[in-house]
Amino acid sequence: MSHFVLADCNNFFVSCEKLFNPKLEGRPVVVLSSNDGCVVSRSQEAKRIGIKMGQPYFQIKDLCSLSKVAVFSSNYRLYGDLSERMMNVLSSASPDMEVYSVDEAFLNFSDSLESEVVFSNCVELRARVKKWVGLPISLGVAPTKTLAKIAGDVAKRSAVGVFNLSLPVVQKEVLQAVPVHEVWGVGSKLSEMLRGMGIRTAWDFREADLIRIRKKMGVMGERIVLELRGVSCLGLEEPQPKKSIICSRSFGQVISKKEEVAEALSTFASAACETLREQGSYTCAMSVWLEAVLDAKLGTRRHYSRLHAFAFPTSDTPQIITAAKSILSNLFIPTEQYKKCGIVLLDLISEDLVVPDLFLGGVDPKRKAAMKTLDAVNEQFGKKSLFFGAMGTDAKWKTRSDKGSQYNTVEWDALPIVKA
Amino acid sequence: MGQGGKRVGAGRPSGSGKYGQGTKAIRVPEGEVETILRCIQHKFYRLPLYQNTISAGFPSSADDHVEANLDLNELLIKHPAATFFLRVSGSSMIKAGIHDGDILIVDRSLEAVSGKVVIASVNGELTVKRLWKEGGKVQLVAENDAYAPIDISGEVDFRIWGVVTSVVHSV
Repeated sequence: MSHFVLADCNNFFVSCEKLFNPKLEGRPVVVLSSNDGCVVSRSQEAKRIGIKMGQPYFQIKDLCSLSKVAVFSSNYRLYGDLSERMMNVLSSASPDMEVYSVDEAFLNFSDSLESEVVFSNCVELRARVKKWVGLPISLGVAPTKTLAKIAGDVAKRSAVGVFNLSLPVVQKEVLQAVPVHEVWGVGSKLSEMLRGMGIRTAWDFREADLIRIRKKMGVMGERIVLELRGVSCLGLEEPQPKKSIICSRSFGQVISKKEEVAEALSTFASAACETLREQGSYTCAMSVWLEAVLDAKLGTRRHYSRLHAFAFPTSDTPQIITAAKSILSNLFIPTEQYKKCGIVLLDLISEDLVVPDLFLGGVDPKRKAAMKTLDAVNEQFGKKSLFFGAMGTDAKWKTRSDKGSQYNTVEWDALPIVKA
Repeated sequence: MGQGGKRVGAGRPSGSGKYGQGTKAIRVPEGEVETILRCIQHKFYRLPLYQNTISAGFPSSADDHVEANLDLNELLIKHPAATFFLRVSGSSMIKAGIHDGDILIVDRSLEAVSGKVVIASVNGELTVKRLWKEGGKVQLVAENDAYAPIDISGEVDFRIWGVVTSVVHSV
C-alpha cells in the first residue's frame, strides 16, 4: 500500500501577502475577490473575530475599520508565482504529484517506506517550504486520498503541522470526530441522504454496509467508503483539458453604453480563446450573458443570456468575438445599467476530433496560422502585446481593486521594495 | 468485426496530458534522470546552437564544440524556487556596492552566517544589512558611516528573510 500525502498551504492568499509585509504578522488580514466583492482568504486572527469565508465586503466594512483589519485586493500574479514555487519544492520530495488546486497538492510515496518515515519526510518538507518560499503548509499522511484530506485538516490544527492517519486506532478516533459532510466527495445532497440513514460521522460512513451504500448511491458512494477504510480507489490524476471555459468579471462601475459592454465582452472572448488554443481544443458553442442592476439597494440583478452554436468547431478569436457581439446586439437594452458580463465556451473537443465538413470545409489553415502567430508574439513579448481593436484601450469596465499590494515577483517594474 | 488488437481512438488522446503534447518513453542514464526532470519542470528547453555550416574546405577545429549560450540564470540563481528579486530603496549599504534603485538577488534557501549581507525583518519592516554574530551578540550593520548598527536584543522583533547573493546595478 503506498502513502498519500495532502500538502495544503494555510490561508494561502493571506500568507502570500504576509511574506513581503511582515507587519501583518499577528494582525487580522483578509484578501478580497476581484472587484473587492467578498472575502476569499482570512488570517487566523480574522477568523477569530468572526469574518466568514465568502462574506461580502460591505457587510464587514465597519468591523474592519473597528478591529484594524488589513484588507487587500487580490494580487493574483503574486499568488500564482508563489504557488508555482511551492509546487516546485513539493515535487522535490516525490515526483509523483498531482497539483489539486492553487494551494493544494497530493503526493504519493512508495509503499517500501514506513508511514513514520513518510511522516518525518513531511516534517522536513514543511520546514523547507517555509524556509524557501516563506509559506506555512500542513501535510496529512494516509493510505488513501480521502483519508489524506482528513489528515490534512487535522494537521492544520496541530502544532507540528503534519499528521499521520495511517494507524487504525488513530483512524477510529479521528473519523469519529469528523462530520460526514466534511468527507471529501460528500456533497450536501449526499450528506442529507446519509443522515437519513443514521450516518453522522465519517466513522459511521466507513462502517456502513457496503452493499447498501452501493444500492443507494452507486459506485461513487462505495468508493468513498472503501477509501475511508484505507483501500485506495483514487490515484493521482493527470491534469485534464477543461470541458468548458468561462471568462467573466464584474465591472468596476455600472455601464450602459453598448460599445463599452462590447469591449468588455471582446476582452473576455479573447482571453477564453487563448485558454482554448493553449489546451489545443475547439469550441462548438458559446453562451454570452449580461447582468443588469435591478435594485441597487437590495443588490438584485436581472440576467440575460443567449446561446450560439457554431456551424463548425472553431478556436478563431475574430470569429468568436464577432459572434459574441452579434449576441450582444440581440440582448442589449439601452435603458439598463450593466454590472457584469461573461462568456462561456461550451462543448470543447480536441483538434483530432474535428471532422472536416463536406460543404463548410475544415479548419482554415491561414486563420489557424494567424492565431498561432498571435499567441507566439504574446508569449514572447508579454500579454496583450498584440490585441484586437474590438477589445478597446481604455477599459472603462475594468475591475476596481484599490487595496492591492502594488508589487509582485514577476514584473521588473513592480518588485517589492527593501529598505537599505 | 475482428477481435483483439489495437482499437482506433482508444485511450487518452495524444497531447491531452500535462505536457500538452505527445510523450515518448526513452532510456536515459540513471545519473541524469534528476537533471532531465528538472529541465522539463523548469521549461529550460534550451537547444544547443551549431554555428558552423558544412563546407568543403579545411575543417574548423571548433566544429566539435557545441556553441553554448551563456545563461545568467545559471550563474546567478542556484535555487530558482527560493530566489526572489527585491528593489533597494535607500543608501545605507553603499560601501557594499548596493545603491538606491538596485535589484538584489536573494536566496532564501541559504543559511545566514555571520558576515553575509542579508534581508531581515526588523520590527515588521524588511531591510538589507550585513549580519554580524559574535558570541551571543547579534548586530545588523550598515555599510555607510552615517548609519549606526542595529543591536538585536530581546525587544526587537527580528527574523532573517533571506541571504543576498548578488546585486544588479546599472552603470
